[in-house]
Amino acid sequence: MDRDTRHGGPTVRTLDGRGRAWRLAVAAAGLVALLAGSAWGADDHFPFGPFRMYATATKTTGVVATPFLIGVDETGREFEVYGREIGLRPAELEGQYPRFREDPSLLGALAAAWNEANPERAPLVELRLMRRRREIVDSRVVGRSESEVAVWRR
Amino acid sequence: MAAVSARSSVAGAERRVGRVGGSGGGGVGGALVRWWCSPVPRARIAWLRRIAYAFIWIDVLFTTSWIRSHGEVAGALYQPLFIGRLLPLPTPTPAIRTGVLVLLLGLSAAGALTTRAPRLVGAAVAALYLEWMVIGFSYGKVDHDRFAFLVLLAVLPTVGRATTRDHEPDEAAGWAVRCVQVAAVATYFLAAWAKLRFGGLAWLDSATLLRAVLRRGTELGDLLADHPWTLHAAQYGIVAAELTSPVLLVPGRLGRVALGVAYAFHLLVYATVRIIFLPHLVAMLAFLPLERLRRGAPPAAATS
Repeated sequence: MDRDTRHGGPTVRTLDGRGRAWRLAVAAAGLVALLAGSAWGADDHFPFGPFRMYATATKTTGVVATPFLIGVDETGREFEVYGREIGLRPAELEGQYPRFREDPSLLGALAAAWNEANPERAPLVELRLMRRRREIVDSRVVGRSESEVAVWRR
Repeated sequence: MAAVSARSSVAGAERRVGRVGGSGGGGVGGALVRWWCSPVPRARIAWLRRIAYAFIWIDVLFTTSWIRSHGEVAGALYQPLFIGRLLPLPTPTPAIRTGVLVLLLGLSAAGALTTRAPRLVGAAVAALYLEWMVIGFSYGKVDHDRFAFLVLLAVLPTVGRATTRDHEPDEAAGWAVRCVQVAAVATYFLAAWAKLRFGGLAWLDSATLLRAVLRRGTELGDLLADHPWTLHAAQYGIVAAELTSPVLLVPGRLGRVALGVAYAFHLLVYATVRIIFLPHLVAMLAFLPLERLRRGAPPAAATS
């Protein structure tokens, strides 16, 4: 650290050559990784992946589908199970649609997690992964429907 | 490089020392080096440490509380990220999750409340927080709201002990602050790049915001969905703002206005779709002259 007070103004703590060199090298390497991630990378390359929040161009006519879960407990009561109750977010359900379809027992793992988080409530005997569809035409909502993606029963 | 020439007060202080930028040489490269290491008071680092480490408690316990449950979900749903496979990080079990959580909360509390061993504590917090995020993002969905915050945590330990009374301009502190600022700008600018890469120019006239609002809309969001032209126009506005985000790095009024616009944008997004980039907003505090928060502080030499 060098200091200089000859002129009476605020002194400055400067970096020596080595301190400056490694800092600039780290900054440059970070920038290169970030630019490469944005150019060729994917989410997998976190934290250097592309900033692709809402980056896809969606059609102005089509379907908006959102996943949701319906649970049935031992008493036969049906209710919506929210992702946050079992540590999953909507996008995580959606991101793994095919896995849930191929192996509905994965829903059983979610049901077990819900049962564990809600010991005071009647346990789930059925968990359905559902899909809510809204049709839009030229950016206007014209219809809605629901369908089943996968179901697990105890 | 308007950002360089406008920093006259800082440049004055640098000249007095007489060797700033010595290893950077002249020309554009030297100017870039001087700009990246423009000194700021260590007090700003002290404030950023307090805020960032305290925010980790909020983030872990509230805003990303869903991560805590990821240790409960069956290991079968775990799809490790590249970094998790490379290192390789273990598949999270409840024991690992609890261990990381306790260490992270304990050390970030120490970092927020004391100024002891800032390099050791800061490095451990940065590593543990990164691991916490890897646990969070290894179940099929990666968030993009915390690159600048991760950079903030990574650079804080590179500065030595700092107190909120330390108003001496410091190049090491300046480098750290600049890294965070550049990361914040990159988050916006490269978000425009990603739209071009994944959506193409068609993104501008797509129904992306409408669909986002239909999926997660609040009352305000539903209102906008009833008037889809507002969302269509917003798509042009967003890309324009992202492409001009380097303005944030300009000292003075222009940069301050840009910072205000950025914060307002995030609040509006929250009001429409309940998405808020909290870690990013915390990291952007690096743009503010936090060193002035303490009363009786002398007018700081570097404040952008």
